[in-house]
Amino acid sequence: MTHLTFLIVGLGGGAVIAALGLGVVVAHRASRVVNFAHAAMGMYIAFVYYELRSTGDLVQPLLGLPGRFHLIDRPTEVTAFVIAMVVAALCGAFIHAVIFRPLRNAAPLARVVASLGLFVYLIAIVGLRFGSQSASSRVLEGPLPNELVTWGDIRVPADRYWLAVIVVAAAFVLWLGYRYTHLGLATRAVAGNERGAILVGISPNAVGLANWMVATMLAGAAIILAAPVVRLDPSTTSLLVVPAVAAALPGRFNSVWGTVVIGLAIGMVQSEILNLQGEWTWLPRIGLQQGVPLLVIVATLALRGDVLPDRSSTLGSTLPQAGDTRNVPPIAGLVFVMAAIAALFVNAEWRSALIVSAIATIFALSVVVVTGYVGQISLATFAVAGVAAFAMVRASDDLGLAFPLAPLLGIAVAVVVGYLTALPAVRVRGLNLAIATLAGAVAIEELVFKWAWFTGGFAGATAESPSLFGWDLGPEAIGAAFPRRTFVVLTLLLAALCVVGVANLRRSSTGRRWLAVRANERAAAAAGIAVVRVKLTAFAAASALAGLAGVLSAYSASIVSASSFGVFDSLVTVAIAYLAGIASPIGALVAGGLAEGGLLTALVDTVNDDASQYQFAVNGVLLIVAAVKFPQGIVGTGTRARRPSGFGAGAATDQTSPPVNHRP
Amino acid sequence: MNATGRAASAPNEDPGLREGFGLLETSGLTVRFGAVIANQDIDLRVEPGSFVGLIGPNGAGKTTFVDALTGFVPTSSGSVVFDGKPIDDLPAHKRAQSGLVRTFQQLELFEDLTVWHNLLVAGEKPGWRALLSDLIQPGRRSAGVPDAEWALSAVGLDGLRDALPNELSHGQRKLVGVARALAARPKLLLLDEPAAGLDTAETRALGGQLSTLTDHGISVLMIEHDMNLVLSLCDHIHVLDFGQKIASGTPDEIRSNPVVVSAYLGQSASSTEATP
Repeated sequence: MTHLTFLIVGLGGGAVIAALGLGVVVAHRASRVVNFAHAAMGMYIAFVYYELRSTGDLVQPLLGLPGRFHLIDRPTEVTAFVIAMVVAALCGAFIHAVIFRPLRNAAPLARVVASLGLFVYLIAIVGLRFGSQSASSRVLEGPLPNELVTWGDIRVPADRYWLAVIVVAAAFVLWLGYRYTHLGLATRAVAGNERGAILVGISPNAVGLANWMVATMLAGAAIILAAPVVRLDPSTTSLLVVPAVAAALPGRFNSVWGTVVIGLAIGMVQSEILNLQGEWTWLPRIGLQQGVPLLVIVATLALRGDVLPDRSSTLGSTLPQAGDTRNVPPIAGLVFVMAAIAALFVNAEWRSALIVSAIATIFALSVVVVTGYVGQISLATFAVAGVAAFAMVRASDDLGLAFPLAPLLGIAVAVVVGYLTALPAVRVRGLNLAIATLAGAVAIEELVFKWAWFTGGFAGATAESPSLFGWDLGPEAIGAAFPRRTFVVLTLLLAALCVVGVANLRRSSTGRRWLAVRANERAAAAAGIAVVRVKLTAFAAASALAGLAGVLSAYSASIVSASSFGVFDSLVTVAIAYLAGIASPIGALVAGGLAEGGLLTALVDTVNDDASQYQFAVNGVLLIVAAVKFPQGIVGTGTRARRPSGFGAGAATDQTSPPVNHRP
Repeated sequence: MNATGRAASAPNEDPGLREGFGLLETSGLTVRFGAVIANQDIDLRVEPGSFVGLIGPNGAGKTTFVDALTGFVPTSSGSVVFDGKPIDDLPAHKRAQSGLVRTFQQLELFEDLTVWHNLLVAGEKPGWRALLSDLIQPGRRSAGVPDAEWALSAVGLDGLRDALPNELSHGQRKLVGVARALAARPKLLLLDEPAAGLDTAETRALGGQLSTLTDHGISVLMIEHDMNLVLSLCDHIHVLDFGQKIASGTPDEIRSNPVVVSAYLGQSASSTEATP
């Protein structure tokens, strides 16, 4: 009977996944976007609810306005829930009006980036508004009854049943609504054919607005009701979007009942795995549960997609122009010399900032290669980097390898793992690839990083300080001498070499093939380019860069822990690289400067001690602005597409405006 | 386009093509999309050194046939032999590397690369070590330079070397598409409506460039609606309708073939301009 018990207990988690999946479906119907921030929206609304319940304060999400104001003394559960739903509806309306409506005709990448920006912003704003409380260790008393219910031998908390019943009821209401109400029909009309819908008098804006309000309320209600089951924590809760997307994916983000059934099934299987881990002691004790959504995603995508896109689906390049990189090596050299000289004189705080910025530059280069140059996307950058860091520690601890060998082996392992996470890229592209790599990253985090032998568990693993022929290259030193200048200069040098290397690749045959694949996979294949090999080579190169960055961060922190290589960091890296200029090695240098804890943070800190805590939130805002207004990024904006002299301007006047939207 | 005409002429074979091996030979080539049969049992040969036309009304399956030859859609049955070797199991890029190179009806240029780099990337055949040598020596002379230079001058676009595709006129873009295919050193060039969207003068210029290709040892299979161009360039023409080959022969034979006239050319058989 324990199997049945665990399966029923799993209804709770499954219901949350299903409810979030429903919201993903609603948002997709409204705006044809897979909203990676969906669970984060629910997470914020849940924080609003629980804060209302405990203090009566209403916490608003807009940066720059007062964070909270007192609304009501000791509201009841119902009052608090109603207020939270009103806040959710307003947030949904705002998100639609400011982000996804302007992006309704934008490239898939711009929409992915915008939803990542929202994700980053919401996590940051909860961190700011709730401070240390946000990693909620508080015991949450949910609105649902949770006494044990006995049914035969099966004793399960009542809220599990309630959650399942509520999600099925919600699905039924949605299904009826889409089928029989005016709004539902209008939504289906817009989803099917937006222009046709406009012709018959439907406003896609009103439809989008209503659906986003519904989606946000669904997300909020799901997390509020399920908080006692899933724990409320900004980043963990926000990553529930992965199983939710897995539930919605097989129904192509369109099927209400398919999403509910698969969502409930994922939760129940995850719960049963927990049971089996207890029974079958040979099973790994680590997060096999997270493998379930990954399996659903990979299986769905493997059955779909083609090695080459078909005749109708070539959208052309919507990425910023990847300019010539002839001038990059001198610029990188100059920046290196200036930074290295500065490193000799500045204090410890600025030296740390230089290290962080150099490492972030290498991370951003990895994104430049995969996304900026080859037009693919990976949300697993930090997972790959973490694998390199831990593999290096194991290589030096267990295999006794010395300095240059251990990190090289770590990077090699990262290349293999990066290659594996990139395999979906052979058949899927764009949004689906983002989903596949995100699921891969979560799986690495749960399966590999929780493997105590590999990562040293909670205590973390200690990276042995690098030294060559008795010359200590590591950062360790006593007092103000930390971090040591040798290590700062070494990191800066490696970052500069990586910038030059990527620039070199761009202007040679490798880069030409990358850009050919980015522009048009079909035409590339017709020109004799092995598209699959080109993509995988680029992923391998990007993984090597991520691996190097991982190894360097391990050395700079000396204690390596899984928390330094979270999925959230991967999202932030893609985001900042996009913001800085995703198709340029100079953009990666700028991204390094913008990174949290880097030069910009140090600069802001010297001006004002408090200001740097807003950096994440500001980055999120900037990212959304960049996605909506400036797809060329900081480096690309202002540089016009070059035109050879003496050439007629009449050719293609529609091609010069910043959103490089080539012929359909 | 009546059904009896199609069925009656299906086995219309040119007896002169029966001997020896063609450069390209398809037998029973069939492509199905679900229940739709886009190409049915197409037997077609292209002799080395020939300029072959492939004509037919819209939706006849011409582009699907080229897609099937070049590995862009899977064939349901039948086989393709190119240059003496079966190529049915090769992916698209391998077929291109073996000398079966196509252009596209739509303008599928690499928008982020200059005209010169568009050609160069097609001419280069870098191996596994390219990544490492490119990392260290980005400026070294590419192996694709001679082919790309030849292709650029073959279409007369030397002056536009450093232009980006979006700075070109429609006609120039079409020529860059042809030049990119030429830079891959094709044995057989498959042109998919090269004159579509060009004005009369541009079409005449294109015809002039294309007519020299066979002198360079490049055979051509051209899909085209402009019958002036087809009749002036091709020494052999195949006609498709509803996915089947309904006729083949010399330009004169095609012009006077009653089945072709009723299916495609229209009643005014003497008129050489077909509506696209």
